[in-house]
Amino acid sequence: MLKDVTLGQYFPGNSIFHKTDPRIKLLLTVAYIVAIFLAKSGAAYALLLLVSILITIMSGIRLSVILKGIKPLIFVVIITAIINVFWYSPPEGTEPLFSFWKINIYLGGLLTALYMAIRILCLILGTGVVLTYTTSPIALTDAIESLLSPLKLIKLPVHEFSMMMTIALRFIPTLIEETDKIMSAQKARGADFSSGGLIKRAKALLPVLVPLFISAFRRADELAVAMECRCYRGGKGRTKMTRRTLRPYDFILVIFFGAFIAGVVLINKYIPFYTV
Amino acid sequence: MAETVIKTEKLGFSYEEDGKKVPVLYDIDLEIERGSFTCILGHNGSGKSTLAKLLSLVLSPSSGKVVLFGKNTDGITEDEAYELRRRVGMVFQNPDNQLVATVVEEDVAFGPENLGIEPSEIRKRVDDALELVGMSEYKKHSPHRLSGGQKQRVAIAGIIALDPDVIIFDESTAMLDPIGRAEVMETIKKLAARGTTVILITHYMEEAAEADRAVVLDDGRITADGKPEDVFSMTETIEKAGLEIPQVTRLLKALKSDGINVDTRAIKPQGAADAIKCALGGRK
Repeated sequence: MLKDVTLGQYFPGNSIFHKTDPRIKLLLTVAYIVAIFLAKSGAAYALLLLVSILITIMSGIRLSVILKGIKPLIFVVIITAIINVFWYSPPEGTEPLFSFWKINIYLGGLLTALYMAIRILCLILGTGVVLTYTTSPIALTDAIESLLSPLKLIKLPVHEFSMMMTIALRFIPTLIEETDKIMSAQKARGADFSSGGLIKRAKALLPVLVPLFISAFRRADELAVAMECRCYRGGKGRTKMTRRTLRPYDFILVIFFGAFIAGVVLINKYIPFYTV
Repeated sequence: MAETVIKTEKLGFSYEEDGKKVPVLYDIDLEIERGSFTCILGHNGSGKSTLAKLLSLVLSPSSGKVVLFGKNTDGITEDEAYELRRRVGMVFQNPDNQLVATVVEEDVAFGPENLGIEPSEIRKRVDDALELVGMSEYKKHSPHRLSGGQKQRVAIAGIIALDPDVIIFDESTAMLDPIGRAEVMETIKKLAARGTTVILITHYMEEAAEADRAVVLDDGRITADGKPEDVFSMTETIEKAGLEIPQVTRLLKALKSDGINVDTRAIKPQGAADAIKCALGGRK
């Protein structure tokens, strides 16, 4: 049952996003988020939606996988949209689109709701789907280490941080497997994890957590010795087997996203219809 | 006479528990020659793993000394210890707790990366090491999906990539299923044949039969040391050390006590078959 955990999910593939340098991908993700929040006019939002769908298709991830990823968040999108419809306070003297009882619905409110929905959807597609589904966790960790490396100058332990992330990612499946094993062992001795109220269930987990923690500490101890035996002594003087170099499609993507931001800004200015 | 790579002189170790000193090893004198394949046998708690940790500088001795490659390790600097640790590789018991990366080849690269070697050279070492342990086709796999034997072979590749002179296997087969054990033993034999000095710590007598030399450790003392066939015939010492005499040896001894004049020193099935054939040869 715990095998369904989708943390750090990555779908290997051959799309342009799979091949892009993860550092570039991280930076472009930031640019993309900025673009999302820059959009103001209706046409700009249309462009957002268009680009989001385009990059999602380019990522080559199967539609069923994407839908499965989006599904839990659809509820959030709908609630946010509905709240925005009613929350809208129009400028003085605006005629409501229609009104019933004491509630007025304005065109601006509907637009805000629509724009908000588009915004959240674009965020999910861009960061949740395109970034994490096409980047292996280890590549992501490496990219973070590389991008944060200037912070070493002010003595921040960037390497240690990324090493911790790597080890955590390495041990998630091992510990999940172990949790399953311990739960089976406790079930065999009559432990009941699936009935009773919240407190009773939480209490039932204690005999699982204690052995799990003890074993995790023992693992940590052994791993530390093994790492020392393999000549680990922190990030100093360390090299990397794969040295990443920027390739043509990295630049093509940078240009593409640059054009995207410029497009959003220009559209805001020159096609300002339905701006909220 | 080959060069002595590891030498211990009156090596002792004890740990403290509740303020009391608990001795684990007493006055161990041991010499390991370059290119040899030595097996250290002992039951649980005989101090064999402690000895391995002392030889690879994970622990430091309470008394006596460890001399690695002619260098006394007492009071050496951190940098010297670092270099010696590279030259004495260590493979542990639990394969899960030795692998650090989420991709096989990244894990093998961990050691060489720590040494600060050129990327192209690391690539070459990783490929060679994986080839040697027969795990090349799994290089892009995630370690947690591999079997125990495969994981352990990846761990061995990770040590080979450091290019050590000596590799110590600290009960590296103990947690594996029979197939995994066979795979790992195959790899160890390959390494020994290649000229790497191998120290195999185990309580499986069949594994010791593969070595050139067997050392029996009993409650922190060496009680037997010699060729496996000679050591195995010291029935009392072996039994006292809490080890099981191999079936082959027991069979030959039983035959002998039944009055058949057979050479009881064989330790592998083939050798036993030959000895029995020889003893019965006249009759057929």
